[in-house]
Amino acid sequence: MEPEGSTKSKRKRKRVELEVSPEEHVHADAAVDRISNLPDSILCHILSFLPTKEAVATSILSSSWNSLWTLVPALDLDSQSQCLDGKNRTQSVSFFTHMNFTVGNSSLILELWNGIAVDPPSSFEFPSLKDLRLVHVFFRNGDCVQRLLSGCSVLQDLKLCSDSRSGLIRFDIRVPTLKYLCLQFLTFKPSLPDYKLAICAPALECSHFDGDLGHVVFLEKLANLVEAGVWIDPFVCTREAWTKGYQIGYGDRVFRLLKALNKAKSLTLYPGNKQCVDFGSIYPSRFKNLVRLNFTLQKSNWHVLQALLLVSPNLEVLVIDKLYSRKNQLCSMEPFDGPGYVSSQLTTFRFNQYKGSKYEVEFVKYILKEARVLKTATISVCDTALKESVIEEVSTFPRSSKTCLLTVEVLH
Amino acid sequence: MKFCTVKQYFDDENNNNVTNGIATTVIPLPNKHLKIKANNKEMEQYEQELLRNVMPQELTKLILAANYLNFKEALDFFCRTVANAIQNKSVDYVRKFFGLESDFEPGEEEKLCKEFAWSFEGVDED
Repeated sequence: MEPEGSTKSKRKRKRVELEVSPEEHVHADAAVDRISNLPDSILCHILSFLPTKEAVATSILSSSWNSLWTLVPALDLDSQSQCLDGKNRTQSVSFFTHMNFTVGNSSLILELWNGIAVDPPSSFEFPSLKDLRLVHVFFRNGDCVQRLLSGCSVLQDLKLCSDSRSGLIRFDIRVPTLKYLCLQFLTFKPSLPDYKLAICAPALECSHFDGDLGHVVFLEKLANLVEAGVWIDPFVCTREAWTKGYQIGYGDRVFRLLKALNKAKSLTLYPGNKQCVDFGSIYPSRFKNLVRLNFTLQKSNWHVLQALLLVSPNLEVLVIDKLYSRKNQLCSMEPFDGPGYVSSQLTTFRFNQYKGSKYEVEFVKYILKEARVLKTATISVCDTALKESVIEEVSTFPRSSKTCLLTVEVLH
Repeated sequence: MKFCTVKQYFDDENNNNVTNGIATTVIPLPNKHLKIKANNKEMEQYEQELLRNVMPQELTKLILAANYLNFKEALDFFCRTVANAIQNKSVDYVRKFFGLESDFEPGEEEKLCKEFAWSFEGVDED
């Protein structure tokens, strides 16, 4: 009689699975002719489709609805819906006090964006928040960030997107539980001061950085780092006059950031264009754990690729993507004098947007010659007309790996 | 899979949770879903048609049916419909929709209104 028994017990069990389990009112036998008689978990599910502002408004419907909205696991707030006025300090503070008081126990994801003023009171707490996204919010001062983060004792995911209007000049990110960090800094105005950021997140497993790199310092080693992504893009406008002055010392910042990420197993890197001109050698720091490297190449950052390859003895997968370089740009490639520029463990190599330029040819030749355990080498060209000539040329390059499969494909 | 409970439903004769009428509405949904999966607009139209004349009470039954059958897409769809129906509406409208009555003390409701003032901005005229 097993099937019968299991049917019965399954019927009594709750179906809708949310991340939080609120107090359960099972109205299985009651008259179900009113929506409000639906179990709390389903009502919460309905509320989760409303913008938070509206979900909060349901608190006034009746006493049983009063705290229902606090059980919704994800909250998102946007000041464009006139939820919070950036200029109104009392409103902002009352919002945070409220969130603290009523939402504390169940909110798992909080997304704040577009101009909301973040200025939490000093006793602020978000005891179960795991995922926090701050997108273009405005901070009254640098302390606001840490005050917000200090209140989140179990925070694991943090995304911070800041542009020049965010008011961040000097701030910290200190979160001992943080596993995933995504930072994005966009600058649209050259006249703004540089920012200074100190990060203390020793449990970090995944770190992504995108945009303009200021003075970023990691206070503790990232021993658990698995994945890292760095995309340097300092200024959205291309005015020469401004970028000239900014270049000096920028390569040093990129270098320091990379050093801090040297425990990563997988790295996606675009070190910028002119910005990394003064980028030196990474040695003696080594990327011992690096197994996968995805590098976005331009004429002016070859030396960064080479420096990185030199210190990655266990690299297995290398993928090169190319970004457009201007014609009269200097190529920073250094001659390959001897082996050691590529790991002896390399099994997979891919070069995208291959054009067959002198430097590309030299690089591909070197890889094919030195990578003894190479299994697949793929070259992709953008132009179908180029495919034949590339196949012809590349198949003549000596390969030290007998089992290497060489493919040339067309990818637009 | 999506219909692990359907088999049990058909096996189980004394089933109060899902009436036959509801079942005929809910069960064809996944097939339709698969057929026009790529085309969002078509799905929207189909959904609009399906719910044009459905009263809140019917919707309740549909939601419970979808929940019982463990059919996530239908459950999300029905809940989203309810959410859309009450979005941006005044407190009184929503109360009527759900069949609720205010059971607050006289001063309490006002107090709540003030505290959450920011959440009541931009509401539709009924």
